[in-house]
Amino acid sequence: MDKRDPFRHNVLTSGHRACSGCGEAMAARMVSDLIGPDAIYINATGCLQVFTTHNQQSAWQAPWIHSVFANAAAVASGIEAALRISGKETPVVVQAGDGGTFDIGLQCLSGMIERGHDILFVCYDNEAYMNTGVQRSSSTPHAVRTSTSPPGRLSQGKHQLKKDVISIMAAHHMPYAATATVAYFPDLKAKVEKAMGIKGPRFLQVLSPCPLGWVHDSALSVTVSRLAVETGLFPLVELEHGELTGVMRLAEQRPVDEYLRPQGRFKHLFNSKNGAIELRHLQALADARIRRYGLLDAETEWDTDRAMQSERHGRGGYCERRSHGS
Amino acid sequence: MTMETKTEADLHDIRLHGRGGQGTVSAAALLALAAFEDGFESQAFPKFGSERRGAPVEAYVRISSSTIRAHNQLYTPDAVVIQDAGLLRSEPLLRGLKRGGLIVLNGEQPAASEGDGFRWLCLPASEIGERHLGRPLPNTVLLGALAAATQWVSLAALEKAVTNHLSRKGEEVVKANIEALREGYESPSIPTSPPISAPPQPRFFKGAAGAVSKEEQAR
Amino acid sequence: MKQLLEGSQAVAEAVRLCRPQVVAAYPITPQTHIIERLAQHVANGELDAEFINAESEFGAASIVLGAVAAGARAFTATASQGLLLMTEVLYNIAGLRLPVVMVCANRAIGAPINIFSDHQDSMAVRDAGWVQLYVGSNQEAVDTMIQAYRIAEVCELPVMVCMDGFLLTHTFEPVELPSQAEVDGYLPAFQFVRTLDPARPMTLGGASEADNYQPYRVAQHDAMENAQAVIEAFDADFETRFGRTGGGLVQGYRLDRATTVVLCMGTLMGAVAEAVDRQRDQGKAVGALRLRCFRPFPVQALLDHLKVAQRIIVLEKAISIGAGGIVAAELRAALQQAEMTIPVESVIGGLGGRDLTPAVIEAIFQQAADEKIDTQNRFAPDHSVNGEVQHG
Repeated sequence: MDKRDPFRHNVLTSGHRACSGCGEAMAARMVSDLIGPDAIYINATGCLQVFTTHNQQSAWQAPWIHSVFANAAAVASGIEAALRISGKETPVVVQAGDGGTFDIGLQCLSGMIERGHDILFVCYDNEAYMNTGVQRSSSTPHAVRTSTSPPGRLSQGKHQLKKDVISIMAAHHMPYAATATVAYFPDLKAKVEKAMGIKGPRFLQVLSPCPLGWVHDSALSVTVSRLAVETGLFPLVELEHGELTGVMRLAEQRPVDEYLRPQGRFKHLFNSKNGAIELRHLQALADARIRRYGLLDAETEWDTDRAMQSERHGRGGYCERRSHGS
Repeated sequence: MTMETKTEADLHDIRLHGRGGQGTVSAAALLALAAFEDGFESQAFPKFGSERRGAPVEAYVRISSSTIRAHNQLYTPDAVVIQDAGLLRSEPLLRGLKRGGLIVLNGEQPAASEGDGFRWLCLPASEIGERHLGRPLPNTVLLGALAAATQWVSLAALEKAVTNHLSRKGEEVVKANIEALREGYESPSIPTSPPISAPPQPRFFKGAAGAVSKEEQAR
Repeated sequence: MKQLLEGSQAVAEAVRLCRPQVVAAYPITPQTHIIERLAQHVANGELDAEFINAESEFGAASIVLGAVAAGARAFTATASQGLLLMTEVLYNIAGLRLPVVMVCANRAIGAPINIFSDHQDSMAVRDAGWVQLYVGSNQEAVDTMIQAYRIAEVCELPVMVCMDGFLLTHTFEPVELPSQAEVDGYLPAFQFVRTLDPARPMTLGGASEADNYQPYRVAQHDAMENAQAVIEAFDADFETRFGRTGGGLVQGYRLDRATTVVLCMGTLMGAVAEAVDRQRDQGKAVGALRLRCFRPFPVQALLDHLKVAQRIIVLEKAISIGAGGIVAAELRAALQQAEMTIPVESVIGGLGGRDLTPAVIEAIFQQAADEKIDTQNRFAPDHSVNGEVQHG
C-alpha cells in the first residue's frame, strides 16, 4: 500500500483542465484527498472525467475508471463485488455530476443502494449539464436560465422544481446520505470521514458552483455556495437509515436575493413583473426548506408549503394552482 | 472442420399434450432421459413460449440410435401422449400423427375414434396417479404405458430417470412415482400385439469402464 | 459421462466449471434458466461467486465490466431487448479491452415483441468489438463457453457465446460435461495486468481527442483479426484434450465436389445437413458450411471452403432492414476482394422463430437450381411449403 502522506500526494493532482473557479474540481480535490489514494475511483461521464483525463494524460494518482455516463454505480457494484470475493477491503468511491446522479444514472444508483454495496457515491451537484454547455437537468433549480430552459415571452427559465434527490436516497433507508458544499470544508470533512467509517451504500451530495453555467465571477464560487446554504435554498443535512440525524442550523436567514443576484442564471428575474413572481416563489421555496429541516428558530416570511406544490410552468408562479376544470 | 454424415433412421418422435401443472414437460424430459439411459440419443423440448398454469402445454421427444441434428419443430409424431382427455375437444391433438400411430390417452377412448387408423391405448391415469401420489398426476403412469406398448424405452431406464430427475423432491416422491410408473407399464389395456415398430438398435452402451468410444464422444 | 441437460443448464454448468467470481444477472426469456441455475449453485455453495441481481441489463453489463476491471472473472447472459439495452456498455467493454464473457440466447427484436429465436439481437451489435461464436448444439455451447474465457483472456477481447434461444436453451440433449480438473487444465486462472489496484494506480477509460482515438480502434481491429488464429489454436488444443471440437472458425458438411453450398449459422445447420443429405440422395452436388465464428469474420477460412463452389446460398436469421442479408453482404465483399466470382444468393428466414425445416431448405436448393432466387434478397418460404407439412 501507498505510504505517502495523502496531503502531499493529492489523489487529484494539479495540471488538469478545469475552468477557473470550478466548484467541482475543488470538491473532488477535497473529497478524494480526504479518502486518499488507497481507494478505487469510478467516474461517470461529465466535466470531472473530461478535465482530469485527456489524451493519455491523467490527473488521477489513484486507480480510476470511467465507463459511460449512466453506469458508474453499476461499474462500482461490479468492482466492489470483485474486491469482496477476493477478500480485499479497498474503498470504492463513485464520482458523478448531477446528470449522472439525478437523471441518467439514477437507476443504476438505486440498484447499487438497494443491493447494499459497500460504496460511497459522491454527487458533485452543479445543477445542470455543464459539460455539454449548460443544459437543464432535473437538479436545475426553479426559474434558472439554461440553454434548454431559456427565459422568453412565455417562460421564466426552468419550469419545474429541483429534484429532491436526497429524499430519494433516504427513502432507500441507506446507512448514510448527506449534503455538503465546498464553502464549509470542516463540515464536508466530517461527512466524508463519517461516510468512510460506515459499511454499506453511502451518498454525498456536494453543491459545486460552476462559474460558467451559473454565470458568476470565478472568484465567488465559495461565496455563492455559502449563500446557497445561508439562504436556506441548499440545507446541509444528514440522514441515516431514512431518519434525519443532523442539520447545519442557521443563525439567521439571508434573503434569497443575495444568492440570486451574483448569478447571471437568475438575471432575467430581476427586470420583469413575472420575474418578480418567480423571485417570491424562490424565497418561499427557501422558507419551506428551512421549516422542513428546522434550520431556524425564527419564523420564516412565507409559511405555506404550497411553494413545493405550486403550478410549476413558470408562467403563473407561486401559489397559483392549475385550474383543471377550465 | 467437417461434420460427419448421418442418416436419421430409427428416429421416434413423440408428442405429449397436457395442461400447465400436469408435468408434461417433465414427462418429456423423463422419457428422453430414459431413452438416453438405454443407450440411445434423445432430445426433449417444450412447445416454446410462455407457460401459464392450466393452459394447454405441448412437449416433444426425439429418440434415435444416431446423433440428433434437428433443432426444428416436430410435426409428424409416431406417438401422442394425452394427459387430459378434455383437450381432445379443443386442440388438434392428433395433427400430423403417422398412420398406425399410437395414442396414449388418460381417459376413455372417444366413440368417434373407431376405425381412424390409429392405435388407442386408454387408461385412467389420473386415478392411478392419485392412488400412488395423492394427487391426480397422470404423467408417470402414461410414460409406463407408452414404454410397455412401444418398447422404445425400458422400464428400468424409466425408473432410473425418475429416480435421478425427482431425487431433489425426496425418496417418498421417487418411490410413489416409480409405483405409478409400474402400474402404467402393467396396465391391462396394453395391446398384446407386437410393438408398433422395432426398437432402434443402441449405437453405444455406457459401461462402468467408460465404454463410450472416442469416436462416439466426438460426434 | 454424458448427461441429458437442458441447454441453459448445460451452459450454466460450463460457466460454473470456468469458476467465475462475479455473476451479474437480469432475467429475460429465453436466457433466464441460465442465471437461475447459477443462482442456485451460488446458494448451494457449489460456485464461489458473488451473484449480483442487476437493476437492468445495462446494469448487468456494467457490473461485469467493473468486476473484470478489478481483476475478477465474470459472467452475464442476456438476449434480445436486453442485449440492445446493453449496447452502449458492450462497446465500452470492448474499447476498454476487458475480457468479459457472456451468453446471448439469440431471440428476435420487437416490435412486434417476439420471444422466439433468430439472430437479430447479436447481429445488431456485430460492430461492438466482441468476438461472436454461434453454437450449433448444447454440447458446443458447453465447449465454446470453456474456450471463450481462454480466448477472451489471451486476446483481451470480450466474447459473446451466441446460442439459439429455446432451440438450445430449452431443449434437453445429451451433453458431456468435462471434469473440474480437465477444465482447470485447459483454462488457467485469470491474471489481468490492467487491473484497478491502489498499489499500481492506473487510469482506465480516459478521454481521447481526434488525433489519439483512431489508434485505439486500429488496435482493437488488429486484436480481433489476430483472434482468428487464437480461436483455431484453442479449439485444436480443446480437441486434443477433450476429444471433440467446438467447431473452429467454420464447419463444413459434405463439401466434397459440392457445386452449391449453403452457408448458415447456429442450430440451423441441423436442418441444412438433413436437406443436404436428401439432395445428395437425389444425386445433387450440394454441401453446407456453418459459420461458427462470425466476429472476427474469417475471410480466409470461408474462401478456402467455398472456392470450388459454383453457387453459394447464404441462409440467415437476421436482416439489415433496407439492405438485406448481413452475412451475404460480407461474403460478397470478401469474394470480390479475393477476385472470386461465385454468385452469392441471399435468403433470409427463420425470423422470430419461424421454423426452417429440411423441406424448406430443399425448396431453397430447388429455387437456386432453377435460378429463381434473385440477386436481390429473398425470404425463405413458410415451412408448410407446397401445402405439405414436412417431417422435422
